[in-house]
Amino acid sequence: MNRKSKRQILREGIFTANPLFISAMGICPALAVATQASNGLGLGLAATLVLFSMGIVLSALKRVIPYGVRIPCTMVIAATFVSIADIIVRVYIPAVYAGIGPYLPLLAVNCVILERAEFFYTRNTVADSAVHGLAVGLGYTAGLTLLGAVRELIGKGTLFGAPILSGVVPQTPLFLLAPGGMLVLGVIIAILNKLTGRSAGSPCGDCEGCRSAAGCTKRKGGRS
Amino acid sequence: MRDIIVIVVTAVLSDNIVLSQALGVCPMLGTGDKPARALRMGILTALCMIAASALSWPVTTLVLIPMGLEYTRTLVFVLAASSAVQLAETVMRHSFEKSAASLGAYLPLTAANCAILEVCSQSASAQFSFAQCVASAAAGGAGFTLALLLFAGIKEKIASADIPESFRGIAIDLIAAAILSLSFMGFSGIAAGIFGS
Repeated sequence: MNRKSKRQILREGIFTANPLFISAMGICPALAVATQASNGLGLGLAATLVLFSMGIVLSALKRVIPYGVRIPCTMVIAATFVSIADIIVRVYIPAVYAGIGPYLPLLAVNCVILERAEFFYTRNTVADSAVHGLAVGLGYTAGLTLLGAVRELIGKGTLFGAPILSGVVPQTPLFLLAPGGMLVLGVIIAILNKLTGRSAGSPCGDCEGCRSAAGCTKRKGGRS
Repeated sequence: MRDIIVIVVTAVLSDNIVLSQALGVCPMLGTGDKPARALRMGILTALCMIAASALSWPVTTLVLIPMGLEYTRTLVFVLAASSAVQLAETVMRHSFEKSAASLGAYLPLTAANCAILEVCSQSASAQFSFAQCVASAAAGGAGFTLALLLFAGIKEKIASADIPESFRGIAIDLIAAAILSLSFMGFSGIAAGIFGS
């Protein structure tokens, strides 16, 4: 694997290989939790903390963990950091915890985190992995916040709790449920495709471990 | 027996883990348009769910609750789920090489399936007996397999349809999943309606 500069890693994590919109990963908590902007922001920041710490610890331990038990090891480390994030959110931002609390433990099995662990942290240096974790986390946060904001606006007519559209446009609570989340996410991805001129088949940076790679016609190299 | 039937109907239809609770959506979107592959993936995940629940139930009931260590629940569930997946991976690589190859990189990522963790966690929260716990894991797995199979069928149709350029790929998949999930909302309350509970 040819090494990328830190700046490139940062740009890829946030924009060109945004975990939620481009690689389409970490969708489950996005659909279940990001029903309003503040929840999306809270979950995203918790995930950033976990990704950043995981990047440092896993890349430092990459020669110590035997290949055969790497999945349980990765997940136990993830669960540890998720528990820490859980406590931090519960103590410092209880209002957000009320919305995302039950779903925080599920971060431990978030595919964004495990996929990064499987394909990036175990193959790169500590510094690169830390930058990468931060970039992917911030990209994920941006995605979750945007998704939450759109759903909150259509579903409840508010934005970050402030009434923007309430009374003006009828509220559609469907958008707070799973189908509404899928619909909004699908449409956002389509709009982004249109804006960036990227069709599903064009290479989008990090094909390795991309969820769409299996059906992607223009993937680089290929993995089997 | 009756409560087990209610658990199964609820988990498969009215409270489907993928389509109603939006958990395990990533594997549904990632498995692709081959129903046979979706079936394999679904059965593998269902077996992992049963194994993980059966592993975590005694630990939760016999160790964590008596000792007041429930706050380590997540760690136990994660460990149970990942051990189950690692076990499945090892068994498949040795005995079913072809199936393992067709699932490829998704096999280890089964561990990242939040549906498995959620099944364990829901059984613990509902304080199920061991039989109810295994039944609900099996039913959750059946619901997961059903969602995967239905979606693979839809993907087959999508593959041959003329989709607007910017909707191709994951966007149209998500919108199709939204419609499928919307249709499953029609099942809500069906268990209460049939069994009057």
